[in-house]
Amino acid sequence: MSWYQLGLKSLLRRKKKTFILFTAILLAVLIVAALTSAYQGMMEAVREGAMKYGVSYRLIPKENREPISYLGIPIVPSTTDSKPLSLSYSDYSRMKQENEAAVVGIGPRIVKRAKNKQTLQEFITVGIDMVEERKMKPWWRIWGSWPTQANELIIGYDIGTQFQLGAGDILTLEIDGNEKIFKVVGVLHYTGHVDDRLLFYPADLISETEIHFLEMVVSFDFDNNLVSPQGWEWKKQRSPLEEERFESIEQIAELSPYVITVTTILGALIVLITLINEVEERKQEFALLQAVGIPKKMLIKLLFFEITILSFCGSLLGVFLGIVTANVWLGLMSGLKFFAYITISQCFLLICFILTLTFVVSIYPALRVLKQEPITLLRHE
Amino acid sequence: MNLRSLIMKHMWRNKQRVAGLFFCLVIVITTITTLYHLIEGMNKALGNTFDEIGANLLIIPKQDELDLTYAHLSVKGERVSLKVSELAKIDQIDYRDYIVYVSPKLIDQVEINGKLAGLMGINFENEKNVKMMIQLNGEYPTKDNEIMVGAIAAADLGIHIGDELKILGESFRVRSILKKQNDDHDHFIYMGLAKAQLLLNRENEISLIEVAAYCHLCPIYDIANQLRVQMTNAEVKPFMDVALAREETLDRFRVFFYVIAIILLFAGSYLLTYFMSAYTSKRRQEIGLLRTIGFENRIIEKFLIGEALLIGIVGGLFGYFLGMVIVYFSIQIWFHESVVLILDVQNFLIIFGVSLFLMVIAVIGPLRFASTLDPVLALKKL
Amino acid sequence: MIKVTNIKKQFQDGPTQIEVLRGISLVINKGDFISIVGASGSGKSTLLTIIGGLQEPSSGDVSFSETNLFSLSKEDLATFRREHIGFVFQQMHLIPYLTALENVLLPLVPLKELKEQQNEKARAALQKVGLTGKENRYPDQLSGGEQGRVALARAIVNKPPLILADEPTGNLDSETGQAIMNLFKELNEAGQTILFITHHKEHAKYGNRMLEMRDGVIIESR
Repeated sequence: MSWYQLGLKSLLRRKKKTFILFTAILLAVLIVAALTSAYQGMMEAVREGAMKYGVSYRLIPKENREPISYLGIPIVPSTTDSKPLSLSYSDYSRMKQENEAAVVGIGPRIVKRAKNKQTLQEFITVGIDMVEERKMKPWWRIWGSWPTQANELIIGYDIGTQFQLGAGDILTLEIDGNEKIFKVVGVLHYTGHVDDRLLFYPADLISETEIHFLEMVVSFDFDNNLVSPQGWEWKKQRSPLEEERFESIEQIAELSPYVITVTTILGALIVLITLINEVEERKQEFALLQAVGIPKKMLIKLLFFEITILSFCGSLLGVFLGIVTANVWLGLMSGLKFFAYITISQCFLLICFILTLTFVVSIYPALRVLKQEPITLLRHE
Repeated sequence: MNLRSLIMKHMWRNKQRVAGLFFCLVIVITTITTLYHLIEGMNKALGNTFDEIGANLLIIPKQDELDLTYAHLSVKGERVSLKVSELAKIDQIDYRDYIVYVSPKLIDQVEINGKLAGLMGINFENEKNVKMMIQLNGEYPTKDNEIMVGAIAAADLGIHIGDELKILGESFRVRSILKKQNDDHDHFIYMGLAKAQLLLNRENEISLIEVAAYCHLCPIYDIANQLRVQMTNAEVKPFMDVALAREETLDRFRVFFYVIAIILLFAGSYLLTYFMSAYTSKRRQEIGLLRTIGFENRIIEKFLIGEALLIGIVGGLFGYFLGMVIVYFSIQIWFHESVVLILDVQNFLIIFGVSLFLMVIAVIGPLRFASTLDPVLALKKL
Repeated sequence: MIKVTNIKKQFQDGPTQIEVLRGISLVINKGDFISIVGASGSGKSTLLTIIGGLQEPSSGDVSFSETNLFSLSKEDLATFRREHIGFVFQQMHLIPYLTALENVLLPLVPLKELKEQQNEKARAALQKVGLTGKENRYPDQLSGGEQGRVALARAIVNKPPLILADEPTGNLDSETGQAIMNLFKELNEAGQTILFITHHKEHAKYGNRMLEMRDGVIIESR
C-alpha cells in the first residue's frame, strides 16, 4: 500500500465525510461560477439590448432645407417651396443591399400630405416598409393589428385621441389629387416622438415613384463607411440611448472585480471552514499515522492529494451546476429573456483557480497537522 | 444561575468556537451589506447617468388641431401653450421624489438679421445636468442677455462667440455655441426662459415640459399616469424608446441582483449551518449532561436559540457597520460617481433581519440533534 | 541496550508547575518483558511516551543502543520510531475505514517496497496474532480482542526491537485480556523486547520484571 492508495481509500471509504467536503467545494465553485456567469450573462444581455436599439441614420439630400421643428412641433417653415429630391425604388434596394452587413433595419419614407374628404382635416401620411420599420423600432406597440395591405393604416396615438379614430374606421383621403380609401387597422401606442402624429401605411414600394428619404438603424459597433447615392448623405441621428448604453455598460463593468473578490472570499471561507473542521476531526487519525511512523511530509502529501482530487471533481461539477443554477434563476426571473453563460476558457480558468484556491486554503489545516504531535493520541479524550 | 447567565458562561468558556461562528456571520453579513449597497447604489447611479443623458417623459399641451412638421411637410394648426403654474403640479404626485429634473421650454420663431430662426427659452441652471447641453464651445450663459446657439443655426446665421445679436429689438451676446448634436437642438437659439417669455410677450406660457424621472422599482408608466391625473389639460407621454431601453437595462441588473442575493443567502446559511452543527456535535457531552441532570428539551432549545440569537444580533450589527465602512471606502477609492452611498434605516433592518434569520436557520440542525440525543450515549464518551 | 538516564518531566498548568517524572533511570535489556504498574497520575504513560520518543523530557536522556533519541531531528526521530518501536494503545486506534490487513500495512506505507512484499509481511504479522482469515474485515466487524490483535500485529509488522504498550488490555474483558497477554508472552519468548503498562496485578505478572511507580518515581523494581 502506498500513500496515494491510502488517500484514495480514505476518500472512498469515508463516504459521509468525503461528501461533506465535496459539497463544500462544490458549493464554493457553484457560487463563483453562478455569479460569474450570471454577471456575464447580464452584461451580454445589456450589450445585446444596445445592439437591438442601435444607431439611427437618415439618408437625406445634401442640400436639405427642411423646416425647423422641435419634436415635430413646427417652428420655422421651410425656406424653399421647391419640390424635394426623391429616390427611386431601385435606389432603395441598392442601399439595402450595399449596407446589409451593418444594418438592423432599413426602411423608406414616402411622406405625403393627405386631406380627409369629409372633415377637410389635413394629415401627413408616411408610406413605410412595415417589416423593416418594426425591426428599427422595437418599442412600437399597437392596439389593433399591423397593416399588411397598402390600403390599411395605422395611426399615431395623438391622431387617435384628437380625431376619435380607432381600429376599424374608414378614412377617405385625398393624396396628390387622387382619392383613396383607407381602413384603420391599428393605433400606435404613444412613443413620445413625432410618430404619434402621423399615419403609416405599408407602401407598395414598386409602384411608388418617389421615396423622400430612408431611415436606417445600424448596430453600435458598426464603424465602416455607409454607401450613399450621389447628392445624398447619411446623417447620424442623435440618440440618448447610445451614450446611455455605453455609460451603463462601463458602469456595470466596474462591478466585476468586486463580484469576483466577494464570491472568492465567500467560496474560500466555505472551503476553509469545512476543511479545518474535517482535519480537526481526523486529528486522531493523523496522530496515529504519525505514531506508526508515517513522516509528516507524507501526511501533507496525503492531505493535498485528497483535497486536489476532491476539488478537481468538485470544480467540474460545480462549474456545471453553477451555470445551470444561474440559468434557471435568470431564466425564471427575466421571463426567459436572458441567460448566463461562460466560455470554455473561463471554465478552465475557473477550475485552475479553484484548484489554487483550495490549495492555498488547505495550507492552514496542513500546518495544523504539521504542528500536531503523535502524543495527542495518548491524551485520552 | 439562570438560563441567561448559563448562556453567557458557556459562550465565555467556548470563546474560540463562538468567535469562529461570530466571524463567519460577520463575514456573511458584511458581504451581503457591501454587495447590497454597492448594487443598490449602482442602480441609483445608473439612474443618475440616465438623467444626465436626458428626459424620458414629455409633457405637451392637449391640442384640438393637428400641428406638426415631418420631413419637408408641415400641417399648421392652432397652437396651445401650457401655463407656468402647471409646473407646480408635478410636485404633487406621489412619485415626486423620483423626478430628477424638470425642463420647461418655450419655443417660437424670431427674426434675426432678416432670417427666421427658432428660439428656445430654457432654464439654463436646470439643463446643466444634461450632458448634451454642456457640450459647447464658449461659456455656459449665466446672465439674462446672454444666449447659446445651436451648431446649424450658428452656421446658417453666421453667428460667432462674442457676437452681439439683435432679437426683437433687444441686444444679446452670444456666450457659446453648442456642439453639433445631429438632432433638432442644432437649429435653435437658446436663452433664459423668463427672458424669452418677456421678449416674446408670452409671459406665463411654456410650450412643453421635458421630465427626467427615475424610479428603479416602479415603471415610468406609473409616473406618467400620476402626472396625467394632475395635469388634465396636458398630454403626458414617456419617450418609449428611452423608457424601454432603460427599463431593460435596469431589469437585467435587477435580476442579476436577485441572483446574487439568493446565492449569498444560500451560501451564508450553508456556512453557518455547517459551523453550528460542527460546534454542537462537539458539545454532545455537555448537552447530554444537561439532559441527565433534568433539563427539559424545551430549556435546552431555549439555550441553543438564545445563544444563536445573541450571536446573530451582535454579528448582524457588527457585520452591517463593517460592511458600510467597506462600502464607504470602496466608493471613495474605487467607484467614485458610479455608485451612490445609500444610508437607509430600512436597509439596515432588512440586513439585521437576514442576520437573525440565518442564525435561526443554522440552529435548526443543532436543535434536532439535541432533542434526539440519547444522554446515556452522549455521556459514555465523556 | 536501552538506557534511560535521570529523566525529569514538568508540565506547566496555569501558575502551578506539575512534576510528573522526578528523575527516572532504567536499563532495558534485549528480551526483557517489563510491566509498569502504578496509580493514575503516577507518570507511567509519560515515561512510556518519552521512551518511545513521542515527547521530550525536561531533562535526562534516552539512548537506544548508541543513539541518543532526543539528539535526532524530528523527521529522523519519526524514522527511528518507525524502525525501532512498535506501539500498542489502550484504544487500539485502528483506522475505521481500513481493513485489518490495511491497518497492519500502515507502518509499511513510507517504505518503498513492492506490494507483494508488503502484503506478505502484513499477513505474516496477522498470522502471528492468530487472525488469519479475517484480513479483510473492518475494525467494527471485529471483536474487542480481535481489534487488540490487529493493533499488536501493526506494532510488530516492521519487526521493531521494542514494543511499547499502554494498557493494551485496559478496554478488554479479563478473558480476552488474558489472551492478549499470552500473545505478548509468546512474542517475548521469540525474543521480542516488550515494555507495557497495566492496571492488572495479574497481567503484571506476565512480565519478567515489574516496575511500580508512584508520584513520578520508581518505588519498586522486581
